[in-house]
Amino acid sequence: MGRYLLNRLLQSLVTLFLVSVVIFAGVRAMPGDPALLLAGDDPSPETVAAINEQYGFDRAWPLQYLTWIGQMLRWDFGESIRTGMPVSETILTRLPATLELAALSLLVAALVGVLAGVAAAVRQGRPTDWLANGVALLGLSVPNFWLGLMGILVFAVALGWLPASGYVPFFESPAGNLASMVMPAIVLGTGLAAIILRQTRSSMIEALSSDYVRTARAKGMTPRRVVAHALRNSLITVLTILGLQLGALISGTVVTEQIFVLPGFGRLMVESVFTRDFPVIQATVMVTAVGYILVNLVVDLLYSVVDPRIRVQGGAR
Amino acid sequence: MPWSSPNGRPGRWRTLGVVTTAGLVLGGCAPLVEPQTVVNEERSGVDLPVRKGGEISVALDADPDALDPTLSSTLVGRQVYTSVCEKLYDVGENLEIVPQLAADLPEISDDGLDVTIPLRRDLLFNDGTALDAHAVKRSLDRHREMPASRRATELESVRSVEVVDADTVRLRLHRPYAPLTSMLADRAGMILSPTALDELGEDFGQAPVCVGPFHFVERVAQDRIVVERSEHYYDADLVNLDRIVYRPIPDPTIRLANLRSGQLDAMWKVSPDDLPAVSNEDGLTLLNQPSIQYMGMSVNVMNTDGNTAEPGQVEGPLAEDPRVRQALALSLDRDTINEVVFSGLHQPACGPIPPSSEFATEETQACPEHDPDRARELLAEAGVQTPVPVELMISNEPLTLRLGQVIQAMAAEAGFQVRLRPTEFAASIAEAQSGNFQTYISGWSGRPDPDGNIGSFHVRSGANNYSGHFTPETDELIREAAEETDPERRRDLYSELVPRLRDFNNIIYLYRERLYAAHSTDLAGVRVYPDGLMRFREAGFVAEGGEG
Repeated sequence: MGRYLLNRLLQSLVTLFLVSVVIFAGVRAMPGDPALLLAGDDPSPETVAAINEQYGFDRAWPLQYLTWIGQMLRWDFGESIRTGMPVSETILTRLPATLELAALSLLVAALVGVLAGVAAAVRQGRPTDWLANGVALLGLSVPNFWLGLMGILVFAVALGWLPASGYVPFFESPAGNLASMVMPAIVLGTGLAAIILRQTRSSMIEALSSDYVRTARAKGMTPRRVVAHALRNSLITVLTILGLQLGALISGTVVTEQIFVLPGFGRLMVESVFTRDFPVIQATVMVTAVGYILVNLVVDLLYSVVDPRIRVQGGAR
Repeated sequence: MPWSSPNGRPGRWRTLGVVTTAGLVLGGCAPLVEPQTVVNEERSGVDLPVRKGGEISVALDADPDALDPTLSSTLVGRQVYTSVCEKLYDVGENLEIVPQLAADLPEISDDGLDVTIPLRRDLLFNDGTALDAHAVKRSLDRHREMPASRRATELESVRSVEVVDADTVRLRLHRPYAPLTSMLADRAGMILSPTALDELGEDFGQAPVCVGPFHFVERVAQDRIVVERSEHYYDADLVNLDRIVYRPIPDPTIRLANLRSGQLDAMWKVSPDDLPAVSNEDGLTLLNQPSIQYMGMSVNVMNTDGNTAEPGQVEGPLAEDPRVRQALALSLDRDTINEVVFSGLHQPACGPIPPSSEFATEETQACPEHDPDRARELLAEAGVQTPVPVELMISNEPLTLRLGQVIQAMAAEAGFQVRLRPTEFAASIAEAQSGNFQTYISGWSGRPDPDGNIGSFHVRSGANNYSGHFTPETDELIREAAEETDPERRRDLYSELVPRLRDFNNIIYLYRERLYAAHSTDLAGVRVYPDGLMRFREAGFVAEGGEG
């Protein structure tokens, strides 16, 4: 286990290095000059030059890159060139909303998806199954920005039950926090729930028709325990899907945060691209990459919990 | 009672009904109010008795940049400055310059080289520091000299700033410069607390301290900027609100939904599509003002190597033959553009000086008629092969793309084949500056002084002269007009200049946005002037019984 972890960590470092090179080159390959954007309405060439010097954009690329890496190792992401605020501080204030949003929508997706998927599989070919499949298709096809806007119109504007926007930190007011996160979590979770539903259904159907389930039934196991038995074996595919869908989840947070005006990480990333805020783009992408790598590591470790046949020891996976 | 809800907020179910119905028939319904009615109801604010206290949330259309008056360059940043950073001069309801921190309009010497500014007495910054001539000098010098200052160009004409006595400063100029007072009515005239400058230096923008009705409390990037009522403000009696939370919400649909649901109390920029509904909606007040901004199409004539570099001649009939540019201009019907793209809610524009300006004359406001026949004749005269291919670089927002498509159709009638090149904003500016475009639609937020809308756009190597076009004669005229301190003579100079610029068609002016802001009917005293800024100094919640 220890050796496996060490291996994975080394791999992750290599990945992070590559990410850092790609993102560093990427932001500089983007059309549009940050100094020009910052220089304002009637800029003199001297002003533009002074801005370039201030942020080190006039130095050679390798030097800029090394400076950036050196700063990052000290958890110093520099200052936003747009707002002048420290990037590390900005990131820390933006993470909670996004992490909570991601966690809650995963929860919504997993609960709804697995329960409905199991129900559909157990009642295969019957109305419950049809209904679940129909709803899943709808969930997959409806874009979440539309769902979000409709949710706001109905539940915030017309009914006034939920706030249309904003984020209340959990420790300030748990109830307020929940009220502000219900709609975003459901909106973001819908698409994922549909995917999980379909995945759970098909792997459950497969499991339910396998030999060990037939044997269990023949031995007189109660239907409820049979389902639990099969479910555990189906979960491994669901887990894989969850890991793979993380990318979609992150891009989904961007849209959801825009609609519900949440002070999240996704919005930070997108808006910093539009303003060519290099330090913020670089820092947010790096943090996202670290998060992605960590989650995938956790998913791999979880496999062995769900299915003891998969052993991580010695990298035999 | 099917139309009212049990919890005392009547109208919710009705709204739900409307929403559902609207959703069902979406795309097929006519506006609730004629756009013309909306345009006609010009209103800069609502006057009703208000009570003290209260907190409001205000939506801005973007997140401001650094809140340091020396360094900031966004229009949206100025929205926040109206609350926290006052200036030597301000812009009044009719774009006139009025004293703010200054006690009176400046006294200008006969040769136009000495500008003496008397200051109001007993002013305190929001940290309690006294404002005197030394503080004014320090701020103006910072605006002029700090490396990377975005104010340097605006104050270029200033040679030195002198302290005459505690309540008077004198600016000595290199050359006479009429727009100076209007520069001092913007960020270049903002005075920063010397105590805060000592403490924060270059990081002043993280906790700005000026004179203002509100003081800065906190900022969370892209989420909120919070200001609270100042106790040190000279007119503190006039200020009613305790606290304002500015929230950047880029999408107009989402801003409006939040205003309707009560999450917001006021919002900047209502989308033209929503205006007919908003103007008629219970619970919402629409503020409507003409603006000093414009949108126009720059034609690349002489920008071969970057607009601040040496001009050269761009190839192709559009750049080489003024008749072809004139044909393109004549092919565009500004009224129809306004009707089709903006439901008639904006204002056609044919020149850089807005009709509200004191320098607006018949000559500067004249507009060539839409004339596709004449356009075709001109193309024939020029001997070019039709259709003339034109590439139009345009921002990739839905409304602007609609504008591009309408232009495409109109120009086709006269013999142009317009190809749209949707480009994201930051990228488009870089392309425009380096001359990698044929035509480009962009906007200018506008300045109260005409030179701010003309100078950098038309002179040789001007910072905003994407077209690159210039002539020595018009450059001289632009300079002369900027140095003329007599308003009457200045007006004549612009009457001579603007028609000449129009004939070049290096910028084909298209339209001026009207400004639409909305707030809840619970509020009163919010002011919007043609400079495009929301002022909350005297705003407050409507007092009980004051409902109008």
